[in-house]
Amino acid sequence: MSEARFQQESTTGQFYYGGKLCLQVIYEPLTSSGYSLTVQHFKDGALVQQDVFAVPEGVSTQSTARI
Amino acid sequence: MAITTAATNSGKVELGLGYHNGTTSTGDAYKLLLIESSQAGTYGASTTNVGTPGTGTPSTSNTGTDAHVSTGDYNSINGVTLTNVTPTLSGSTAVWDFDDVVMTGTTISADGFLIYNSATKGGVAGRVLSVHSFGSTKTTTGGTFTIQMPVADASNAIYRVA
Repeated sequence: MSEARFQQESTTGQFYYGGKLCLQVIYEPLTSSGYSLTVQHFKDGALVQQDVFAVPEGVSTQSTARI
Repeated sequence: MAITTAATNSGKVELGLGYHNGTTSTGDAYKLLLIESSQAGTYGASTTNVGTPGTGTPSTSNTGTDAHVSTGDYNSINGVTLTNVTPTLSGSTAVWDFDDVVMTGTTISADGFLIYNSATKGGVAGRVLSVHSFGSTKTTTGGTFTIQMPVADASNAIYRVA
């Protein structure tokens, strides 16, 4: 039986299967716009794969640079 | 050192010199070059050129050893080729866009990326149009690194001429 643990407004969520962590998702916002999701795949408690989905912040020729 | 999200100052001048053409299919060949985590150089509005990725000391005109090595579908230290979407007008702002980039089978640790023109313009190739920080180090391990371009409008597009 799979089990998902996500909390409202949390930046991290986990999926468990058979009581073991199998997937973890980490949300990280950028300064003003843009964000990334890091998806970690686990097998028997060990990280076996990590994916990244990123939406970068665009730039304007008119705007002040942001760090 | 640091990566600051910015349109490069040199790129602004180059627009006026006709060194950038983002037209679909017939425009210039733009590339996305990843910058390593813990980079030695400083990247931002003053960055001008990718130089010789993989070789030399990082500076405003050379990514040098800060350029991420090839891995999986990120198959060249010179970066991955972008697919142009012809610039359009959103209100009074010209917006540039590219297709999303999906790279599988990668092991990457990068803090940001540069968008540059790989075509030779005015006798020089590698002119950097913009610099983008990820905000923190993004890491894949044998996985897929996806960069989805933001919505192509006056507030969000990856490159905007206002």
